[in-house]
Amino acid sequence: MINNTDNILSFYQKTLEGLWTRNEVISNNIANAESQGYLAKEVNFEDVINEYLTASKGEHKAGVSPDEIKYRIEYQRGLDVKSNGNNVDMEKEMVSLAENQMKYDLASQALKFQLNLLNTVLSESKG
Amino acid sequence: MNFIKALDISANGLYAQKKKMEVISQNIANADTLVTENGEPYRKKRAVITENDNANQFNKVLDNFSKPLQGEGVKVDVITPLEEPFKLLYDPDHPLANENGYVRMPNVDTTEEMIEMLSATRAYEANATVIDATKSMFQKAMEIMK
Repeated sequence: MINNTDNILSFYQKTLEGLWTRNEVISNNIANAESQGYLAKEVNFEDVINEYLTASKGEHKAGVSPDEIKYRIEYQRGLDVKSNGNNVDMEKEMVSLAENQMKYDLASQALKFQLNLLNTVLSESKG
Repeated sequence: MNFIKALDISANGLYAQKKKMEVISQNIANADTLVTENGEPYRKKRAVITENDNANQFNKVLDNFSKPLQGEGVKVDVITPLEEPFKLLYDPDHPLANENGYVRMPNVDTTEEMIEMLSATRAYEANATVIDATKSMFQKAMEIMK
């Protein structure tokens, strides 16, 4: 477990970083809900994380390092463009905001749990 | 993770909506102003909100290679008087009436202003909600080491 600690921690770091960036992008979409010609953006990193997780389960265990996880900011597709050239869907953004917040809570809880485990191991070796 | 930037974007949004509200107030307050400095009736104004796009600034070009498309909030553009015709009111006894008995009234439509005001209020609330969400996420990050 200890060997893997570095990987696990940077994996969590990547996840939190991606979720935080997504929060920024959603904030930007909501702030620009009325901007002329603004096109809504989104962060896509779940796919990359999933690839990493499948790879690290399989035989390529050491193949992928969490440092290689890169999120992408893309334009959202399939939205209706309003007459001022703007395609922000306010309801969708508010839902993503709430969803993203919950995911962030979950990820930070999980990281906290991991760190507690580490702490337990470290304090055992002391005693 | 940049706490200040995340808040900056939403604060930008709040500011833009507040500015919009100011312009609306100005329009409603001047709905009956028949003479302004240039001798014409009052012309309605609008706050135009656009994306704060500084992608072409010299020091941003390299940043944009590493983090493409990440936004920077909004900016409120020049408040443009719209070229809409003045309303005409038939009132021959009015001191400002022209030879046909019509008085030129400001081109402010109070109903339209009310609707604009509603949408600005909602947008303001949405930005305030985002600030709450960002704050609570930051709080969670702070609790990781507790």
